[in-house]
Amino acid sequence: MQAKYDEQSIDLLASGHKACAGCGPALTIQAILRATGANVFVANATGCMEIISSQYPQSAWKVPWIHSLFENTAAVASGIEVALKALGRSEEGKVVVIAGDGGTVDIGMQAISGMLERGHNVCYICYDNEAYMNTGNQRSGSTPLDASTTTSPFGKRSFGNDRPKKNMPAIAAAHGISYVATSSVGYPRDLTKKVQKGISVSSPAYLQIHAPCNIGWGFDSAKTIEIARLAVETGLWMMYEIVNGELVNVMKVRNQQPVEEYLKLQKRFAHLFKMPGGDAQIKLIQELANNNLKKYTVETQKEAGEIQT
Amino acid sequence: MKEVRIHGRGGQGSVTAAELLAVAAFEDGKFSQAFPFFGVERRGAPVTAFARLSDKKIRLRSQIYEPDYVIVQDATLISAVDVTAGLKPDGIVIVNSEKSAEDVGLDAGIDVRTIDATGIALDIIGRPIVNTTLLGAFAGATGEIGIDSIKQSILARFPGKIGEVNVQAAEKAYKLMTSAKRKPSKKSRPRKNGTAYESHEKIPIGAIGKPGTSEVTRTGDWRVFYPEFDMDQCSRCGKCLESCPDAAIHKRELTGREATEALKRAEELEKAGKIKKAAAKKAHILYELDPMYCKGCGICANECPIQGIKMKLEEK
Repeated sequence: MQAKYDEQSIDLLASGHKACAGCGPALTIQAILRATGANVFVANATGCMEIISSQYPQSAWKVPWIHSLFENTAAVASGIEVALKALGRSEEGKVVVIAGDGGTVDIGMQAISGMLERGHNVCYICYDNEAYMNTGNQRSGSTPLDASTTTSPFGKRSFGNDRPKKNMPAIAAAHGISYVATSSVGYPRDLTKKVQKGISVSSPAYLQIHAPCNIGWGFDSAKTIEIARLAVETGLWMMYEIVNGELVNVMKVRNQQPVEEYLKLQKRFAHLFKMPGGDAQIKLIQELANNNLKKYTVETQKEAGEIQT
Repeated sequence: MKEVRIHGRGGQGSVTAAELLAVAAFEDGKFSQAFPFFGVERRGAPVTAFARLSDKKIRLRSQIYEPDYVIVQDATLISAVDVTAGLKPDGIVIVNSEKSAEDVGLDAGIDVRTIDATGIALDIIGRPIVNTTLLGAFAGATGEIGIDSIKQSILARFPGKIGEVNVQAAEKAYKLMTSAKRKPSKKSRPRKNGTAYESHEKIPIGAIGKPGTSEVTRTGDWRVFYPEFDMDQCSRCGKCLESCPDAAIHKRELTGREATEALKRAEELEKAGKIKKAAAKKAHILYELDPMYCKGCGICANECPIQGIKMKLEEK
């Protein structure tokens, strides 16, 4: 299925925003807004995408937009949703959260849990660039194993970040919500389709979108999409949906690439190729990828049923 | 005490340049200081860094409002930022530009020295990183710091091959600068406050800018490379448009006579075997770059399935 979108609505995040050249998260927002169209209310957590889009007195947003703190974006969105309901204005648009991985898997966690548990009609979208990039690359709960960041630097006694990524989609799904999905900026059509599904349900939905940061990860600005695709092709980033609690539509990896292909392009993993013991770590990462592919399989690729809301 | 203000773009190493300068001054037996202006800078956005050099202890901790020397790492900043604000009489402005001092767009009364640091850096270092080259130029133009100290400072920060090529670039710039003549300026430049708002009371509380107003920022002047589209071969898949983080690629459909002419021309090219039929049939659809906003990231060129987009060095 090829999702359709209105190419005219493409610049709902206007040009002139201050994101770095080749910014994966900015590209993610372009794609999200292309999928939603203009009828959305965006609550935006603190983070790169807030800073680059709203440097006073300018704003790049062409949709209703509010900036909140790191920790309370889901609460702010919940408030907007019930306010719209109380005013009888729910028809005017969908409430969407756009937040980074730090504001989602670490700091914003309890507000998200509350929002999902209370059943607010909000589509929560996390762009996952795998660290706190706004403040210069500090590790978050979403930073992958062995990535070197300023707070998890590699050294004589360290291969970088010593924990694998937190599985936030599973945590969201554990709340019993009807739509959870992961996507990647490397697959704009898939992203469009999932965002459109996410906003079509009338209960909470959670999406996590893999969005490479060329500065923090250390790769050439032209390769943002290529790197995002490689994450999927190696099995390090899985694309799937959890509809009504059931894992469906897992994107098949037909030709699994060795994880080295993904790691070697990024400075944050460069030490693994130079340090003694680095090769064993690469093997460990390969195992993570292989386990992902094993874990996220559905025996028969079935089409998801109607999303219950 | 001499005060130096460096204007650059995020990613050009302005802060590093200030630090290298301070370390070099220290090597020369001086007291020194280096610090950046803190803002929300991203790669490509205008940034400022400062350095102070003195024979005595430096107690001042403020930003530099009345510099003795200004280094401009990117000539396109001249139209966006008041780079000479507060410049002292006899002050020198060193600009990275292939143009002559008269042509960079600064007032005639100012002592401007230009140097094609981008050219030198691309030649010697292989990347358009100009900060070390400009430090060589600074030493040559001002005589405040010896080139040997600059060299030591660079090598201490970047050991090995990288340090060596950076030193070579700095030396080349130093030689070019010392052979240039000095033409002193007499007037000081009007000073400006470092922040955009003179008083915090003028900022509305809880403010959000009007929708889409970011478009006043011409992010196009951040780029070093620009994408060139081969519209004859283009299959009009639209991948470039959907891979642009800056909404700087637009689709436009020609109508009427323009469309007929474009299609006719493409048909002839197709008959001559120069382009494919799929491309010829859609010759009236254009994908156009908005040079005002393209930051030159190169994603479109990387993603184009027919390699029809080439990144070219921007002429500035």
